[in-house]
Amino acid sequence: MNQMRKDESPEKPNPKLRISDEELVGRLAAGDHAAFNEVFERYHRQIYNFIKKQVAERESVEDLAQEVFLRVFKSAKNFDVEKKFSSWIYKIALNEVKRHWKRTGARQTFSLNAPLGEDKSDFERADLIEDERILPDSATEQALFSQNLRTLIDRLPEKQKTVVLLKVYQELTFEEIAEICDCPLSTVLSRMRYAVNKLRRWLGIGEEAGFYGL
Amino acid sequence: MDCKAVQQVIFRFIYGECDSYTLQKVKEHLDVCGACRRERDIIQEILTKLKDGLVEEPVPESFRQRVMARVHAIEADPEF
Repeated sequence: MNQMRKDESPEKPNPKLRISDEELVGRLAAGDHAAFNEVFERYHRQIYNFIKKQVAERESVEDLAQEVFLRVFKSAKNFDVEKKFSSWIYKIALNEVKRHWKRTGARQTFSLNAPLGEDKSDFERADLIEDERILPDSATEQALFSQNLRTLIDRLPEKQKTVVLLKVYQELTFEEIAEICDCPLSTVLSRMRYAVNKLRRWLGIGEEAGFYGL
Repeated sequence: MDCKAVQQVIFRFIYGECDSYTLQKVKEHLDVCGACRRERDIIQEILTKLKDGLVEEPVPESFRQRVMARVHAIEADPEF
């Protein structure tokens, strides 16, 4: 599934002609404010959607995403050019989301269900997820599947959910995620494994006990 | 490489993040181990369903305008 890896940016006409994110932020730090437009162009969809998957209200999503870009604009001089810009901006975004959760006391984006733990309730799928109804085969069912999937992702413990969002949807490398989450690579891989373990049971994929304990 | 070792690197393998040596070892193991192949297939199925299940949402045009307006305000008055 190597095809899961992504190009670094949605718009990438010619990599040879395209300056790196890090160089771009260096220009911004040096006072070239026009460089900000390019940074925004490269990252606003990713950052907006990353936050959107964690925060329900559109206004809050826009507020938080805006704050991320303002921080980039104001703090470009603090960016360590030896590091990857993508890790830096996602770290800013993650911190903004955490601050939002702390302020509002709400974590879920879609449901009010508490995250499931490792106990037997873990084996009880969400009420609306029953057997193969989760599997979509029409536009309507696809919409329902997306809605249900979002509910399930919300039920993951916070740190596991963050890894899933950064890996599956933002398509960052596990090393980048480790840097963003300030934890060892092995921890990121464990969180991914536990998250997929839960989702496997909730989605009803591979009903029998997994060979890997998944 | 045995099944337990493959389990430790399976996600990195799936996403193409293994070094070439590990990649080769995992491939060799998968060639002879049906149980690990099945686990890989199931994990890939889950990851594909996750990826395909949530589409990227369009960003409202108002968002760009909001951000740029704030940036211009800061440019005009850095204390803003």
